[in-house]
Amino acid sequence: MIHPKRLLEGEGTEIERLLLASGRAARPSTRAKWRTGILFFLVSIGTVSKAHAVALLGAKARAWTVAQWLALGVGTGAAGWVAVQANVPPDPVAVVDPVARRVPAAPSLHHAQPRVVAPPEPAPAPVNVVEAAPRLEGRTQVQAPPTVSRSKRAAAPAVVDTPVVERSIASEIDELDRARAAVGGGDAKRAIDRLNRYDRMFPQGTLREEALRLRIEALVSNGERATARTLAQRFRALYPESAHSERLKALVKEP
Amino acid sequence: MLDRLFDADVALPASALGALELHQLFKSTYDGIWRLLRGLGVPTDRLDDAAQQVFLVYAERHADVVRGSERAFLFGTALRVAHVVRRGTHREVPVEIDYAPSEQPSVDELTDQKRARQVLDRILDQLDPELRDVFVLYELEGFTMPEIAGIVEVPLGTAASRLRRGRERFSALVRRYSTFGPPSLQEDAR
Repeated sequence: MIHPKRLLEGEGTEIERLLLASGRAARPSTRAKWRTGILFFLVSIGTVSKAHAVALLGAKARAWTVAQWLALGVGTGAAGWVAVQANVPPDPVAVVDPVARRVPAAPSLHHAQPRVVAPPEPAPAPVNVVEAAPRLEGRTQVQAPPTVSRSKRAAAPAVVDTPVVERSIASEIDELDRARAAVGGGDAKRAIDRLNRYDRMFPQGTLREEALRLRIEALVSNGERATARTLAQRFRALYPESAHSERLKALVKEP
Repeated sequence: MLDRLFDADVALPASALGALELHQLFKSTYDGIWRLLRGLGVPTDRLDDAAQQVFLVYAERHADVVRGSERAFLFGTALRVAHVVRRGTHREVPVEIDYAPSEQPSVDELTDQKRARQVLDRILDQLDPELRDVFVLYELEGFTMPEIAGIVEVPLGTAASRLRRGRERFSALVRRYSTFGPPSLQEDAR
């Protein structure tokens, strides 16, 4: 089969989907991305400048002109860097894993408390109080002193103000499985109810892309094609790289 | 912030349209490239550098890249960078995981994402590189089979065959993991 259904879309077992979802949820550090963006920009500009110079000027002037163009590119880039530096959000010293944050102190978990996950690049220093990064919800404040031993941490009460409903990827998958089953069974209203419930339970869920895709399918099957089309546009804006975009576009087309 | 930086190039020799396209391309592909490199086994401490290398290769050669195939070029470059980095790291990858019978992991355990990622990494390490490339591109990055065939530069049938074998191997390893539990996961492995 050339286009098999993906494991994460329901073809795989629950454990397979959990593992793949964890891989898909991995994110790079903002600062590294920003740094690479600057370099990418500067080198791109340098390349183009060089090409222009070579095309426009003779061999004698070439080296000097190229150097001028490169200096101009680097200088402007540096000025831009300085200009935006003040607005760069500080790279969080440690990021609270958004999924772990949602898992309350369940006894069966290896890490009963929300974990502090070091960012991919070397972190400067550990901190005693970790505040949620700006993009995370402000309602969770975690005190996780890394210097305390694991046994002490396990004994300490979790200072976590988590939402009421237990949140984990397993629960997310479970909710979406029910919605998917309802869509598959032709019960679009029930599927939408399930997806509303999912949205309430997991406002920052890992599988929101999948949830939105299911909602669009449910709306189409419920005859609400205009709403589905609007959501499909939103889907494309939110997940421009998604493999579902084209299929959803075709799905919401007028018959 | 990057938007502002890219906006600053209006006075530069590059055309504004080109810079805007580069910006869009960077924004839409960086996370995927980084994740792909990770999925292909680039060690965490080298991920950012490897991602940077991919984009610098593109930046130096973007004039030569066929219009419309920028993403394929970037992801194809990422595959090659990942292979080079992996060869250079000399990480010992056992042919088979030495599973020691242990308590069967529960779903709750796997909800711990860090642990789940470690398990995923260990399992992916057991896949042959050519199967892993196709498997990660399809299952984690959401590419279609024709896109993958283009990126990996193999016929479509070969890509499909690799995916099928990769999935069989992956499922077998996950089943094995579910039965026997993982080997002692080294915290510093990833």
